[in-house]
Amino acid sequence: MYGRDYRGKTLNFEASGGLMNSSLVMQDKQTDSYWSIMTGDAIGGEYKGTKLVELPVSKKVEWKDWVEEHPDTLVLSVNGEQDAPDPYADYFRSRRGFRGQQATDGRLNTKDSIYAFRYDDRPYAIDTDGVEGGKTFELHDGSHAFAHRAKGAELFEGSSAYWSELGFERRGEEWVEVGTGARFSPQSGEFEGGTVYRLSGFDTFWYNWSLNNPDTALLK
Amino acid sequence: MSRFKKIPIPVLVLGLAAAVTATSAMTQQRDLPESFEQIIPRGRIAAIDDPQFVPAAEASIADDSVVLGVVIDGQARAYSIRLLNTHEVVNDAIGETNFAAVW
Repeated sequence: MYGRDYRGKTLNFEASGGLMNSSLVMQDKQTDSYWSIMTGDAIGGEYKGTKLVELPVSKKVEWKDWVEEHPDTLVLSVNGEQDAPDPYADYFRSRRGFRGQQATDGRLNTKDSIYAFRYDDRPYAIDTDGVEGGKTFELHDGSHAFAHRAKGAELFEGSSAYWSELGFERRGEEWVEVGTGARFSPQSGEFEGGTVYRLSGFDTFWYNWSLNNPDTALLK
Repeated sequence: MSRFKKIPIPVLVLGLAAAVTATSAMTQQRDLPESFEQIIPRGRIAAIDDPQFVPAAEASIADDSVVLGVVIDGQARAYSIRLLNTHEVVNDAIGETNFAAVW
């Protein structure tokens, strides 16, 4: 999810028809610059070398969970349809990447599921195996990340990650921020109070992220 | 009868030369990384510039269908990932916030 207000212009994006490392590349209609959907980087055109602003306001969840949490939600409707058959069903089941592509970074398998985010301009990947119920990690500057995956979440959804300078700890059945005691609510996916902020990331496959971000720090 | 046959050969050659020059100039101008691959022409996948929405009660969507859920200024919107697959980008706005729904 990216902001469209950029350097005094409001950009309209569309698919460029091209891919980079199997990830979609967009172009904006105002400058024809090329943008990696995976990283937000302009890889060509007028804005080459700059980066879009990612908005930490979105998450991927099953419809039934979303509508329970947000009963007043609006739903995108295209030609009267709000849903479509899944054209990528085989892709999700297969062990190989899009068009047979494989990870070159062997720290994980091609289709292993990760939660990808950036912190301090560095790419990170959390192996989502074992994250269900919550897990903490230390980042390069000594600060802390907490990752959570909803119980029974399907592949490619349901993960979230949070940052704190102070750290996170388990207190009984709950996760809290060290020092402030702010409690994590798995229902709302938020910490109540404290100095925690949500990291802006997404669920993806290892090959897709690692091919685009070869210097990724892998948290396991 | 094809239109092609009516074009005199010298014009065709000039046209081809111009096309080749235009293509290489375009490639240079794009200055794209080697790993970029043009799979289909631009514009073949139509982005959504004027998205339409219905309330949850009127939506026909499978319980386990994955949506991209967004909350801005207290307003919630859901985009079926399967619908996004066929359009790739929704250029949307809530209040003063212009954003691109992509995944």
